[in-house]
Amino acid sequence: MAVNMDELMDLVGDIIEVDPSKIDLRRDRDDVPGWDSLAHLRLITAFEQQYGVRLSMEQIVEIRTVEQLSRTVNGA
Amino acid sequence: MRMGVAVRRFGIPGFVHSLYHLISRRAIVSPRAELEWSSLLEIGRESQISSFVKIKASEGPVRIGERTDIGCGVFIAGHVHGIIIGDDCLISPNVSIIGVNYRYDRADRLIREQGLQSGGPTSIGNNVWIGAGAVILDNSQIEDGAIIAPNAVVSGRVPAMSIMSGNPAKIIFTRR
Repeated sequence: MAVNMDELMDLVGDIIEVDPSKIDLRRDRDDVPGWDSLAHLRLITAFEQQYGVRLSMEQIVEIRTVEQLSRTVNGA
Repeated sequence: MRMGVAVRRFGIPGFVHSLYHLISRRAIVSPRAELEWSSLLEIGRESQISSFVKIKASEGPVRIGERTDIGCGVFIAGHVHGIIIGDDCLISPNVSIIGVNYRYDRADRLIREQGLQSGGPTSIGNNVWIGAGAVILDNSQIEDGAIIAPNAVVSGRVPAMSIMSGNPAKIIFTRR
């Protein structure tokens, strides 16, 4: 399944409680208010459920931006 | 409060608890912790109990496993079904582990006059980390390897290796 970026923005916005239109795809999660370690885990769980994938711990740690998250399904 | 309970709870100086647990179990108990002098309280080898921890063990067993750390200000109240904490757990400051509930079936009576009830033992498995300020309610079963986020309120079963957060606590992730 390919990731629809609008859907992904909605998902991220819902988890970190920001307006999806204000999410910067390439912004590091340390610079995004609300994207703390617990929100990151909630986001990964919701992403896995929505797209039917299972990420490894290494991938989960390495994901720093929304763009990187989308690539886990869409490919580089 | 019955006289016997009062003596067991308040009559034994803190350093006596500290010495007893250090000699018998090599457990480190702060002299400023408030433990009960009771055969129902067991603290495993090399566990640590910090200052201002309060443990009530008059009505039922409270068993703490080996190498478990209990942080400052933790409150543990056992009741008839008891509280069992496993080995290698990390209990952060100000966590409450409650093994009992007040009954409130009758709206025409004071809650305090309706007595207490417990649905079953409250158990915490091995290698569990409970974040600061979390509340673990009566009859909760936290399985091995689980993590409870700070300020979560847990009631019921927490599957092994899961991370729970919120009030009521929900699974946000499963460790892998």
